[in-house]
Amino acid sequence: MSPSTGRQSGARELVRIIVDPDAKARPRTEAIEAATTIATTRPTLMDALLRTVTDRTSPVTVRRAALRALQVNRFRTSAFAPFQPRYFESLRAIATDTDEELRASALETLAANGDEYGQRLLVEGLRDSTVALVDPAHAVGMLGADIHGQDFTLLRELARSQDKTTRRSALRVLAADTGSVALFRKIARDKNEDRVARATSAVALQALAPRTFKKVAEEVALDERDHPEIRATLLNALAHDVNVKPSARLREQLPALDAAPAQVRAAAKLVADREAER
Amino acid sequence: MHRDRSTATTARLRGWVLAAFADVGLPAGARPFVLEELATSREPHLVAAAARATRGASHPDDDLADALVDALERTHERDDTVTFEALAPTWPTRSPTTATTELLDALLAMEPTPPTALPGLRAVLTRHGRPSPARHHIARAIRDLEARQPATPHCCSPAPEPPENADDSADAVFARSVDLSLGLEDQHGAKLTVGDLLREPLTLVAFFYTRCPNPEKCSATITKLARIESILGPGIGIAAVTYDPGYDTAPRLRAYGEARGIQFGPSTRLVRCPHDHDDLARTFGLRVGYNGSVVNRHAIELHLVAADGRIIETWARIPWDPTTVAATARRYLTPEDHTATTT
Amino acid sequence: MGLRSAANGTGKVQFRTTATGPASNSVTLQLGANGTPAACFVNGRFGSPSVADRDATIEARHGSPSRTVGTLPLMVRIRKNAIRLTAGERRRFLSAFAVLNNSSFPVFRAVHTELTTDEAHGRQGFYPWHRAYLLDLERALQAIDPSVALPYWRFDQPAADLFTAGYLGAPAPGGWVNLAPSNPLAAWTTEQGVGIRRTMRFAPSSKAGVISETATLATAATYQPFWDPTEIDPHGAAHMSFAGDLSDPGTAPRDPLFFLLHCNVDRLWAKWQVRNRRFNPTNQSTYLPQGAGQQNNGARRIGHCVQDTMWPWNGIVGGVRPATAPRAPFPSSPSTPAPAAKPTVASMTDWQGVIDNRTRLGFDYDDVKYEPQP
Repeated sequence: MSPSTGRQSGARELVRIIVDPDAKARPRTEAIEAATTIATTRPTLMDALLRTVTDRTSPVTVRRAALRALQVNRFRTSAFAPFQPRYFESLRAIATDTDEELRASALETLAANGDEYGQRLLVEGLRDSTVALVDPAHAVGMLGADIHGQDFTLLRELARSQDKTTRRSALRVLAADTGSVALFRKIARDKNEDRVARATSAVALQALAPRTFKKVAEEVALDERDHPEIRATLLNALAHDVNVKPSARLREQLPALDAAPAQVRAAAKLVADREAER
Repeated sequence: MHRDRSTATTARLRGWVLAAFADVGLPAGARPFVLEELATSREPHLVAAAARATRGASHPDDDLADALVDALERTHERDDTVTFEALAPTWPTRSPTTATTELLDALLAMEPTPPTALPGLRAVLTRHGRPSPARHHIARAIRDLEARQPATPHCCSPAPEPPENADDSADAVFARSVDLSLGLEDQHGAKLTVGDLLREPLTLVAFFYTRCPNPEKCSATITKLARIESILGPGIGIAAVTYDPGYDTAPRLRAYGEARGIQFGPSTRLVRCPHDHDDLARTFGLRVGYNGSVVNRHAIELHLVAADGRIIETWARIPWDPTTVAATARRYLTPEDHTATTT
Repeated sequence: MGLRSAANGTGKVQFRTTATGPASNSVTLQLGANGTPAACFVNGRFGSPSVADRDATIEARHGSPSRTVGTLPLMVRIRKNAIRLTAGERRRFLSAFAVLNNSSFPVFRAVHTELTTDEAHGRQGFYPWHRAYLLDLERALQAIDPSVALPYWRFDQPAADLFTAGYLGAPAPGGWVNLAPSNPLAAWTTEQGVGIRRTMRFAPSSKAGVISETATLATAATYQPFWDPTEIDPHGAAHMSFAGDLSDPGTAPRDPLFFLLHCNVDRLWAKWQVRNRRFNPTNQSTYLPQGAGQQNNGARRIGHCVQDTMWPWNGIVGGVRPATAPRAPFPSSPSTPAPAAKPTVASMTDWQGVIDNRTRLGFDYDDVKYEPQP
């Protein structure tokens, strides 16, 4: 048998096992693993993987293995391109799957690639938790992968969520919205706020409104009554920002921060060192 | 219609309307939008919709055929399964199609076949790499076209002229002036007015934004401006204005331009209009929509503007060639020839 | 005149009297009576890299008894296993990356989008293109802090230390990582917002779901059958060991871990090259396809043949190349003339300069030996 014929019969056998409805899960997943590094050069193998992902009669472990094999191969982008239409069609088909891992993985890729259907499902789930396909914090993060897929009004509502994780996620993604600067300024200054929310808000200001960020960062950094963690975060952000020069007032006050808590002191030193280098 | 909708939703709406032209006929005023999507869109749904739209044309023409082939070249290796089953379809769909399928079907539907279609398809196939469903499909389409009756003398009309009194003033012949007093900020944070920006007798003014996801639009626009800069040398200004003044601060403008070869100077700047952007949009008739603070879609647009603010020439919707634009700009430097046109 | 590596520094060097001659820890040179200089070659001593700038010293010694008449501080700068960096090395690396995030990093992200579909993935140019991409980023970091080298994430071994709040981020609810307030990356932003979106699909105390280094290096002894499966596993498999930005080719570079992941991918190629002595770009076992590429998307697509220049650094747009080429030309380095402003695929193969010293690219790995070929 020629090597080429041998490889083809090897691929044929792998296909046979992968799609065999009567085979146990383990040999099927093993066949999928064996097929992974050669799949894009064998359309029949790709076809088998794509069919298996959407086949709800197959064991979920087999379907997950098939999806992983496809995802790994997608990093060979030009070799994967011929299969992309069917791949995205398959992802949409499993976006509402009963298996959470399959649907989360599908929605992640769809949203990151600006897919209208995937984004619509995620937004619908955020508006109505009874149809949510993933938890809200993850949904927000997935939508955040594409700034052009955002619903900023919805995000601002979620930024008021009682659920801390969801709220933090919403604030992170809202940092793409120049219309949220006032919100971030308010949260960053509020000592009663959740510290992660404050830090996120301050960093968002750095990205969206550098002059406002500088003002707020210096104000907080020099406030002895504020949380050391927040003060350190903002000083750290200032130290690494080549576009924002600390004010004369902050530069003068830096030596006084030698008496501050350790993390504030360390961050203040970073700012001082950067200023010395400029 | 597009305001405060995501880019994907906007594309969905737009595609729905475009695809409908296949059934109701393609009016002349819609041609520029169809050609725009075929020339610039990277979204298979929109390309497929635009391809469908061409089937509503009253008779085939060379421009449409060329646009379909160009779109096939750009799309067939980054295709997707799409559907026109519903405005907001669920999946799996009963009527899947792809951009490649729609483009080829549109070409095959042209009777008689425009003479550039077959050579165009053959060229696409030659450049196409791997065996794939798309490659087979293109090869089959070529065979179908070859099997048709021997070519009759070309009887197709040239592309129709743009209609008079078209509603879309941006694509009509017009003479417009921009407001010279509007305040700008350039890539180094320097404050200036539109009048200051137009310091040369003529200035090429493009529009872009740094968060644009389509590299064939904004990134390519700035790359091409850099090319024009090297062709023209001093004497004609080069400027690009961001659609996203809130986000595109001076450091971002500077980094974006430098990375694409722009050599900044008094007559070469990237700017934002931080306070009067809406006025600027009106004054230039900008083809841009927003979802809140983020651009949700925009056309390619480049204007040649005189120092007194008159827009002399506009290239809109279709990618422009730097050499051609540079030659046109040089031509207009002769004082007598300042008639406004739209390309 | 004698030269030697000072005993008291962390970094150590070796000397050769010819580019490919044997190495020793000291060398004696005959200087011309009229001041004519004598040349020798210096390389870092394997196993003794620097941990900070100027912690290696060359001493010039003369006389009888010999005494030190001059010193030259330098750095043996090496890419290391990320979990073996000293606290200072880690801090400097993270700091430089944080500064880069606020300046030119968006352009690096813009380069590795769908534009790289045909330029950098799925074809043989995968390894050389990413080597150039990493080197471009590393030089940008070194423009901020010259003591920094890109560390690698050894994904076939546990690396729990890497996935902590003080380093590349600890797993946290909601799909984002936790970063300590003192971590320079705590202010990490992209166009998409604040923070790093990453969920681990393996336990931090375990290795990622990839084949072992041993298996990777044993894949094949010639380039084509080495590249083909390894682009998928371990490379693609390492990416898919996460959910979040790393799991999609278009979003992956938003996560700084992308560069440590790819640094290890490059290291594996480097180790494979050393093991099989694959440095000569004109040798088909080192690289295929040879010759110049064609303006189509077939098997000899331009950008992937050994003589081709690589997008975006070549600045070429149009044809089968993308319509835009940010990051052109390739940045120069004070420590080596290579690669050229428009680097070729060939220029990425002899990164150590073992055949021709002038082709050295100015980086190496802590566990990859330098053994120039006579």
